Amino acid sequence: MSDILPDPVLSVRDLRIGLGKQNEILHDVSFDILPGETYGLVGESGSGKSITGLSVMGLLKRPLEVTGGSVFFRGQDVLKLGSRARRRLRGDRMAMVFQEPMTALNPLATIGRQIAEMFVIHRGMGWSDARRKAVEALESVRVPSPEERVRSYPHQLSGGMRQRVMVAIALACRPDLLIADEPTTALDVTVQAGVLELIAELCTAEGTAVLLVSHDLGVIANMCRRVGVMDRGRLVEEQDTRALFENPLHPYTRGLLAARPRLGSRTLARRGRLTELDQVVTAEERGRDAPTLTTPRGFGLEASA
Amino acid sequence: MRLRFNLAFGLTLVLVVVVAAVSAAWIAPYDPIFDADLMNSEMPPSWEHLLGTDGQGRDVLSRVLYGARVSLTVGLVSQLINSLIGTALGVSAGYFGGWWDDLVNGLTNVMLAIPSLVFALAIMAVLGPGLPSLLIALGLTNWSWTCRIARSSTLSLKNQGFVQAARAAGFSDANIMRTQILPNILGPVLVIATLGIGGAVLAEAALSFLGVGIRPPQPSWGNMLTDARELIRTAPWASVFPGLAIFTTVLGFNLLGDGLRDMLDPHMRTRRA
Amino acid sequence: MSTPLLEIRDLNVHFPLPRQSLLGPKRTLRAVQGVSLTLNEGECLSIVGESGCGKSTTALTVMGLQGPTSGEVLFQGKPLTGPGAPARKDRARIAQMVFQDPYASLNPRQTIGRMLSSQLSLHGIAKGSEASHRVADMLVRVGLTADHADRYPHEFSGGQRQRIGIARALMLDPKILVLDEPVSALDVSIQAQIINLLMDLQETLGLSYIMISHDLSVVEHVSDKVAVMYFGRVVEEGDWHSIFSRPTHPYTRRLIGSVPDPDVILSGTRTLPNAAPVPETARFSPDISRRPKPDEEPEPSELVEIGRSHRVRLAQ
Repeated sequence: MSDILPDPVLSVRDLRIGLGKQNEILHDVSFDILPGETYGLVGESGSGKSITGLSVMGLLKRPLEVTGGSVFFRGQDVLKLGSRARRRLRGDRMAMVFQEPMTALNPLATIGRQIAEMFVIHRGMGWSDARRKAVEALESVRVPSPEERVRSYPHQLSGGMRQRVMVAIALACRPDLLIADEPTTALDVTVQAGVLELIAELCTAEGTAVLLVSHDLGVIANMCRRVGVMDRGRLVEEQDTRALFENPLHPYTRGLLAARPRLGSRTLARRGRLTELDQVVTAEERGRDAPTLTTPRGFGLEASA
Repeated sequence: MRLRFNLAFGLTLVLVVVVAAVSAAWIAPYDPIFDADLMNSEMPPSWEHLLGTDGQGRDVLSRVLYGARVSLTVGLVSQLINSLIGTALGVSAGYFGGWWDDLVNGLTNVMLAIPSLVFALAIMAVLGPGLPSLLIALGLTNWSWTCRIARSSTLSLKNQGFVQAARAAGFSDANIMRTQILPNILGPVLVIATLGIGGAVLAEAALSFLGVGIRPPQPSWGNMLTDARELIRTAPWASVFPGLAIFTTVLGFNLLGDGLRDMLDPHMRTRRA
Repeated sequence: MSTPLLEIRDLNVHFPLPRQSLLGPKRTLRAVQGVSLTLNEGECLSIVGESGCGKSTTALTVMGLQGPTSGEVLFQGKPLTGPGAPARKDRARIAQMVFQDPYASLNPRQTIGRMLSSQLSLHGIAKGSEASHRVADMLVRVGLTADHADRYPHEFSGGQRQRIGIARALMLDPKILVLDEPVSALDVSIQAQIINLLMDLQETLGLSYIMISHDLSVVEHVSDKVAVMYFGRVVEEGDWHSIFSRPTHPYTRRLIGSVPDPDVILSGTRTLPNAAPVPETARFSPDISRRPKPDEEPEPSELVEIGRSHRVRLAQ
């Protein structure tokens, strides 16, 4: 493994978010995402993983605000940019896929129009060219018969198809960074597999970096090269995926991994109790102000390979 | 900020009117009906008659104060009847669905299609003027909005876990509507009711103005306006002050309703927290 | 053979669909089609499948919250549906339900104590201080404390609310608990606590569970029997071990194969266990390569025994 890593696409440094300075709910979160890398943020509800993603996009809602730190996107601190400049970045250089595809799409516009809009706004294309590109975009996310589908409205599509449309919109301008916040949580498990595969494939092909926010360790393991574990507003641990699952450093991560029932783990003998989180990690060990436990990229790969 | 202002200002206006109505007998300087002094008719406001006198020499202030009793009684009682009818119909229609829901829905739409004032006018024509018939006429004609809100709230509540759980636990439908549904729709129903009171005060004024409401010489803000109609040039105070009273009351109830709605809206609540 | 605790016999639930045109034919959504299931005392039967497969409708029928179009549900051999069905109050002592969403399933304007004790007084079980004793006992039993009775739902976390939902379901001492996705709305760390609680309660109280779930790792962990539903029909059923060690119907295999399991993914061996052998001429039903239309008449098929207590749906 070479020591020379490419410059990160996204570099979050000591990011703090709160309802004002006194009431902080995200404490000094730092992580890097390399070009083409899929980085996972895993944690429970309220751990701060979603607001981290939103603050990178600049979509944090009041009264929440960034109270400190910086977010370097391609070397530039986006927190210092004006709202116009940030808006130009959004949808063009960085894009987002949300959990609920029904509410994230405009119910009154055809999906073709919603995809074409991206080309018109960010590429300055005319509507007719943009429409043609929209058909191509739908084709790339493997929506069947895209020429007809561009005329559909969101409610005419199934949940899985809607999420594919969301992916098409997000990737329309070939962004450098895709933020996917629980992109498949609302979908059935067989549909989920297809959407995840699609995201992985398209981003690999274009070299798009992905920040995947999820509570599902299975989804994270499936998609990510590197994972950050968040708990109570802190990034408690960050490792390469395999290292994280094989050798979790933080007791909270150990608890999280132990608390899941695993497919195929039940024996015929007896139905055993599951390990509960607080049997593994104590309240004092959680929420403690401590630096992120981490191992460098590529660490331990040789050992397990 | 705006939210508290609406609520506080509305509440203040309403309280002023309520205090005026309740204490009319003590604070009114003259009798509103019998202290008629034709020699002193159409007197402008003075220390003797703070708001002047009307065409028959009666003290406008006293009549406005007593008129508040009529207006508030009409507003509160008729809206109470409306709320009861609307809530009962709306909740039962939403909860049971089926033909009953279709029937109530149809009825609501018919009620909404007929201007309620015209409907009330027709009822008054049958029952004759006077306070009781006014209460009935206004109480039967303005329940459609309450009904709609109650029905749609019930529809969204009835498939929630706690209502299903109550059915599974063996509670009767009447009990479920009373203990599970009603407490959860009271907020919006109350807001509609507060706004409706203002409407009823206006409707009373309109009906009395048209001569089918409160019979003279009993003072009501509406019939005071009727009486003062011809004096608008010579004694404008006889119509301006009852008009202002109506304005204040309706504004007060509307602001109170708006304020309540904002306060009861869970989104607004979390934003304040 | 003794009568099972609960038996669902050839259950059909249809809903009318709006006509496609003014004079078009009447259309019906066949939400549940010919489902037959049995639940024995002390067992956990899980019904798995994706949204819209009819698993929740089946559960609601057991609860009497949804009427069947045809077919019946029997409790200890006596009908729970149709003309001979017990009154709402009587069936409340038979089966209770735990709901998926711990936020929508508690009345925000009722204290926990009131919610729990009102059931006792309705059924004439206990009143006054005796009732509050029972409420306190139940709260402790589900891992809360007695003083929680005075609080309102919004004062609790999601996991605590689900415990309250379980307490509510147990107040009348029912025989059967229908668990509708009991942990899917909860955080991973809390899921384990609730699953453990449910398993403990099942043992100490001798309860029988019908669990509706799409989370196959949870299903494998707690179930005795599993039924896989696809578009209103049971396509495969059997004891948990047969289903997970020999998934046979293509839909079951797809379902198990889609579970994002870290162990499987990281070990890189995404292989499914072998299917049980079926007769060579047989064809699985329905064909999962095409999506059935909701109002379509199903093809004739039946559940065929392919192993000890393991059946799969084949076309006739």
